[in-house]
Amino acid sequence: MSAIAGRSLAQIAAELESGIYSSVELTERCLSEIERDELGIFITVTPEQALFSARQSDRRRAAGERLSVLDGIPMAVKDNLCTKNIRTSCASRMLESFVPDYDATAVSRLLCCGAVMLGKLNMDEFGMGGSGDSSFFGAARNPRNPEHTAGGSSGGAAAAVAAGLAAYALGSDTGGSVRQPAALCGVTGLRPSYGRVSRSGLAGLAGSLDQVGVIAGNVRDCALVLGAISGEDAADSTTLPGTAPDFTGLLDGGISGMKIALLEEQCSGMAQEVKAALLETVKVCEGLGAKVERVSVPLLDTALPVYEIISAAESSVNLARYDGIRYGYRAAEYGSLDELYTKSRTEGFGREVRRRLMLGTLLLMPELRDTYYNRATRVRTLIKSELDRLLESFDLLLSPTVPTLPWRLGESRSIGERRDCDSCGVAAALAGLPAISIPVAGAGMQLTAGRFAEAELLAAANAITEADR
Amino acid sequence: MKDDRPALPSIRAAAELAKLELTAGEERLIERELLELLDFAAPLLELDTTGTEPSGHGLELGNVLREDRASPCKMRLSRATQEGLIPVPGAIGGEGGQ
Repeated sequence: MSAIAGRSLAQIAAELESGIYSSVELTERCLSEIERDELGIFITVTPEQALFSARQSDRRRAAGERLSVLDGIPMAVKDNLCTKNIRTSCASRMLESFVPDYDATAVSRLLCCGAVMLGKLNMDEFGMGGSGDSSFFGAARNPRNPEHTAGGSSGGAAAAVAAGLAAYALGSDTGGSVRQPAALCGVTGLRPSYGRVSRSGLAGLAGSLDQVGVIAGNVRDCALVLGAISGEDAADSTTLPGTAPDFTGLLDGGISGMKIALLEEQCSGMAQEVKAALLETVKVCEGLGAKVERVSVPLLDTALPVYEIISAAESSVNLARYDGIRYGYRAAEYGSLDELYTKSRTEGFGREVRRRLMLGTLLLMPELRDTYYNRATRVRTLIKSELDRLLESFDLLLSPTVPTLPWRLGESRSIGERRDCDSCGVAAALAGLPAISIPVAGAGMQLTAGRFAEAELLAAANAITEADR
Repeated sequence: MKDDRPALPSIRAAAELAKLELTAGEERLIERELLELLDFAAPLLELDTTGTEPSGHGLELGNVLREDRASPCKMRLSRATQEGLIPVPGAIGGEGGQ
């Protein structure tokens, strides 16, 4: 049985402090459970580094020098965040052997808090996908039902927390890739505001949409980890200046008096169970003294095509760096420099990545660029303005995180069904807003708040999940 | 709407730009998927975006400058270096690998 499942960070920290077990003992148990794991959750496990960190943590604790509440607690990292001297593959053949010589800032900040990193987590290749199917290493499976997907692209991260293999995990969210797998695995997933957390060391998918996110067993733990990783970073000029605020201070504030907009356009096509969970969420909110109002925002129907165009275009540029020269996969046989590039990329990237790179390249060609890409960036402005305007009248936006339940791995799905996974997640990403998925009545419910209002968002999410227990 | 659609760029030209090799079947598939995406995006063309600035990010970002001061480069590349240089395959004279 998992040493971590169902335990909060505060509980684990207290048990470490009182000596019920040591960080080494806890880490050894986690590593032994990971060894038995058949869900494909980890791509790389780092037992030596983990135990080294755990020993350091125990020494600090014995000397009364605990670094933080996270000190000594095992966690894991999505495999698109660079980790010094530890393979970072992005679940791709292209980076199968890539070993960075630096840590991503978010990783580094956690390690400075004493976090014990167990290893690197499975994901969709380069973050492209919502099911794990595109991973070069095979998809991670859902701990709630191993025949089902864990979602994506942070599927491994969500599954690791759901299975109790790690107390929390770092993921990344471009259009829902932290929130959707969190919803499908029954855990909590937070996408911070754009600019809240440094993207230095995150293998970019779409630079204007990517954010490092947190997946944990509950809202309070998300708040704790967010506090550790947030703040200005000289290595990422898109980070918000200054240090991050305290995200835990408002957690017990409740939602009495709050106005919550239930987004109609994101409530279509729900599975029966998701609809029931949404109705229960509304009931819980109203029981806590919030007012929930159905609101129609027709512009949100354009969010998904806008997202698909912008993310494909940006990723075609971001992934141009993988050329077989400086790092990454290099074809064994080629006849010219051009063939070296082409063969390396064709052989190194999987089918979904090649598909999206082609679409992105096409959308940026003169025939289509102005009509579709440039227009999409303007519609993005309209969507952003519309959501900002709505959030002047409402404290929060509510919708299901995903309208469906987890599907069977390998199941053939139509384009429409695949798009459903993203339909509720992309608007917050386009507008740079913070959003969280919380498990309520068996399904993931999404709350979105105003820009940089993570403290209020987390407070509301905490109130709802506590009331739902 | 389909009649208003701009002419499509060449799939082969795009593959050349993207440095990807496609089979004939893959080219046809990409063309179908592109058409499907353009149809899915058709509602965007009906919106009035007159006077709307494009958004490059979810935030209002301006140029972030720092002091023009040299500092050590933090990153090396993972391929082995020789005397601070990175060995790469020969590119001159059409010499290929293996």
